[in-house]
Amino acid sequence: MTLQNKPLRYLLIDTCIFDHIANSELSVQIFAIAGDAINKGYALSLSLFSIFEMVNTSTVENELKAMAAIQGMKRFKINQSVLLAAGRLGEFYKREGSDKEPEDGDKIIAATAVIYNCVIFTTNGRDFPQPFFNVIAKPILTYTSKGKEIMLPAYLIEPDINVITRKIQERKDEEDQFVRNLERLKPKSS
Amino acid sequence: MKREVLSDIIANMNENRIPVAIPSKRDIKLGSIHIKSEEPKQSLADAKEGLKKLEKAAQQKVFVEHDTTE
Repeated sequence: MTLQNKPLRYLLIDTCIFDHIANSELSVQIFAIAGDAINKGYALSLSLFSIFEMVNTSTVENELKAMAAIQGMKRFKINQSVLLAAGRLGEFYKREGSDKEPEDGDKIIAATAVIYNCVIFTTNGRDFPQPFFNVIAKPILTYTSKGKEIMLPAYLIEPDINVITRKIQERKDEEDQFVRNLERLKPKSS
Repeated sequence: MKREVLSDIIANMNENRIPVAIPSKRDIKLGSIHIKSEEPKQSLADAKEGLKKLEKAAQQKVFVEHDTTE
C-alpha cells in the first residue's frame, strides 16, 4: 500500500455507486475500495449530474442529508466543454457501432472524466466503452439476494485521452473543411 | 499448487488492485473543448474526512437502494 501525502487525481463516483451503498453488504466493500483509492492518491468527486440523479424525486429530508453527505467531495460542474465533449462522445460511440449506446447522463459523466482526466468508479462498465475508456481495475463485489450470493463486478475506468483527443481533432478537421466548403459556395461579390 | 492456477490467482489479484494515482498535467484546447486535468486541492486528511461523512450517511440510510443489476 502506498500512502500519498496529498491526493493527485480525482476518482469520479458514478451515480450507481450511491445506489449500491444503500445496501449494507455492498456498502462495506465500496468503502473499502474508496478508502484504498484515497490511500493510493485519489480524492473523491462526483458530477453535478449525479447530484441531479440523487435528488430527483427525493424527499426534502433525504435531499438535505444527501447534500450534507457529499460536502467533502469535489463536485464537477457541467460546463460548455463537458457538454460538447458529451455530444462528441455520443457521435464517436455511434461511429464505432456500440451495441448499447449509453444514456445522456452517462455521457455527461464520461465527458467529465475526459475533461478533468478522472478515474471513474462504477458498476456499469458498459457505459464507458472501449476504445475510449480502459478498465484499470475490476474488483468483484458480492451481496446476498433471496438467499443466493450474487457477484457484481465494479470497475475503475480511465479515459484514453490520446484516442479521444485524436478523435476530437479529426472531428475539428471535418468542421474546418465543412466551413471552407461553405465559404467556397458563397456567391462572390463583384 | 499448479503453476497455471497460481498464475490465474496472480492475474486476478493484479486485475483487482487499484493502481497508485499518477498526476497528469494536461491542457489541451480543441476548438471549444478544453481538456484540463485538475489536481485535487484538498489534503489527504480532508479526503478521508469526506469518506467518513459518506460512510456515516450510508449507515443512516440516506441513499436509496435501487435495482443492482446493470
